[in-house]
Amino acid sequence: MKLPIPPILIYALRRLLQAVPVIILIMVGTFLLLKLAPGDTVDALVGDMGGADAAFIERLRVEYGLDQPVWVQLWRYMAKLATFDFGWSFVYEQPVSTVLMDRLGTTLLLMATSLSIAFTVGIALGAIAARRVYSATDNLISTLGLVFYATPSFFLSLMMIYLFSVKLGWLPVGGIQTIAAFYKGWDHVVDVALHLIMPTAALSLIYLSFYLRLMRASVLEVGDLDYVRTARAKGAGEMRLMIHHIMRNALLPVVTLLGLQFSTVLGGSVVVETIFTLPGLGQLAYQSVVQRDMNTLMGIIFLCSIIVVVVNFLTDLLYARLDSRIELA
Amino acid sequence: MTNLDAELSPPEPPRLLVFWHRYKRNRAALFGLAIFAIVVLMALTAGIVDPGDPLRRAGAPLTPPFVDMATPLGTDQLGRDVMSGIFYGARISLLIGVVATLVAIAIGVVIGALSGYFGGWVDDVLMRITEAFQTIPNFVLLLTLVAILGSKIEWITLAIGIVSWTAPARMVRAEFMSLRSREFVDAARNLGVSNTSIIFREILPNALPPIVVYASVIMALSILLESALAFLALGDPNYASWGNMIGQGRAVLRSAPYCAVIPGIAIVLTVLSFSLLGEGLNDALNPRQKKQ
Repeated sequence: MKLPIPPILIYALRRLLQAVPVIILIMVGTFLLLKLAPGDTVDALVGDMGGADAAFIERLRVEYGLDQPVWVQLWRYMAKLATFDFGWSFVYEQPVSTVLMDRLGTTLLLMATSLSIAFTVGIALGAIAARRVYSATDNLISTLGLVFYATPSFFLSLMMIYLFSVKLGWLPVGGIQTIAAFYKGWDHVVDVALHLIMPTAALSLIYLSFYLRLMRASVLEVGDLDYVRTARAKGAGEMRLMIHHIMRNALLPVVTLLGLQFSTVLGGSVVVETIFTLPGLGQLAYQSVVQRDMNTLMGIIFLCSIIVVVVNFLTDLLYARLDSRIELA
Repeated sequence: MTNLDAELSPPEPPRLLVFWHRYKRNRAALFGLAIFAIVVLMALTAGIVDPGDPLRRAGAPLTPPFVDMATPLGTDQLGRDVMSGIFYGARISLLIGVVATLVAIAIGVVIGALSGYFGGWVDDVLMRITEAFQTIPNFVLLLTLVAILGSKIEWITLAIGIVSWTAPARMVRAEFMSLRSREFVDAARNLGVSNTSIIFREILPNALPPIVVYASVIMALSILLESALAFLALGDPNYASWGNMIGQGRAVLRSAPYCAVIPGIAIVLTVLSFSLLGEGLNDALNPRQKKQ
């Protein structure tokens, strides 16, 4: 007998299953990168202790399983990664997972604010530009889009710091909150929001331009379809036409892009977090590279990949919700 | 069939000329081409027009622009000539952009071609690898590769290529999947042409035009990636780089903002020229695609 499982659940499960080989490949990849990097755990440990004799080093290698064949090492490494055990950070003297969890919140907050702004403003501007195609408004919006697209986030960040922090003194230069202010409640929220304005703008403008351009093209394409003409013929107003008829179909490629680009946005947070000294994963990645903290770096890669997989899964579900033509089962 | 001669008689103008006529219809694309030409010219004449070594002291530190004619765009906090840095930086940006793009397209073409041509388990395996590369945030992977390989310019270029091949691979795969069952491929296969030959000599030339257009995007992204690395002081310290100049300019942002602004404008204009160029090429290569 067939079980009455809702099709959306089957769809979700199948999507999750497809992600498994990708995650396994990433595990193997991080292991290979660790092996390629000069020095291993024991070298780091011994360096941390300030040197040790050869016999002791040998014993440490056995203890850490580094005398085993590569396959055994790989298997153990993957088993540990699967339980989110990323090893020990010799820089922070803490388990890597603890260091990562401390930083995760800031990065997720930055991602959430940047992407929501890029997405909403991008589709709004794109839709406006498409409705007044080839007008002065459209030219202005399209040109802005091109310029945002070409401006590297670090340059934009510096220019904003120069204008808003150095010249006008409106916004804080860096950090996530005012140190030693110990704000509580709403004051704390406002304080964090003020600190996030410039990083969010720096990170979102380039993606805003992507969504804007895609949305403009997409609305132009959908706007020509027969069903839109039918809706217009029966007397639907421009506003209703846009929101009710065009938007839902025009959004589909933009949602796809949102999912595809999430990993790039996460990568972009490295530069922005470093400039604005936000204590997130991106800044941690940069510091780990400078300090050669490979365990932490691999932890970041793995954790970021998991986040990307989860976000892609969510956008797939959103896509399925938006486009009812998609075969769920 | 006399009208056949009549149809054939007007000689077709050379393809390049037709292409140029289509291209120059787009004014923005012409603007892009002009900036691109200037950047190329700067890269070629670095050392001739502005002979100073970009990494050596050329005048008093922090001379503002347009004050001393020896250093027309001013000097940074170590007295290095900003204009010289812009010229040499153009050379490095273009060099890294071109080579990294070639690396990315080479990897992408091989993976995409194998995957699209053979399908089946080859496709499954290669696509999972592509997805894995797309899942890892590319800038984090780039940082890791640079941490492992070191900051030499060759390695940086290779690393940028390694993190940017996934999009061309997907494009090549899609092209191959649509082309592999066409008659001319069947004909070649029936003639006993080898798989390698079919892939590279029969299908690939037909799959290339969209890839060529997309190369301008990869090139812009490569230049942005390199400048971001250099901004974080992880670039090759032996070469002047726009990103590095901005990174150094950050220290004197308060007193001498031009140190960061001038190379920043150089990056914006260069990347802008690539996008305009790419759009122009696209319009010229696909004239039927929704002409405005």
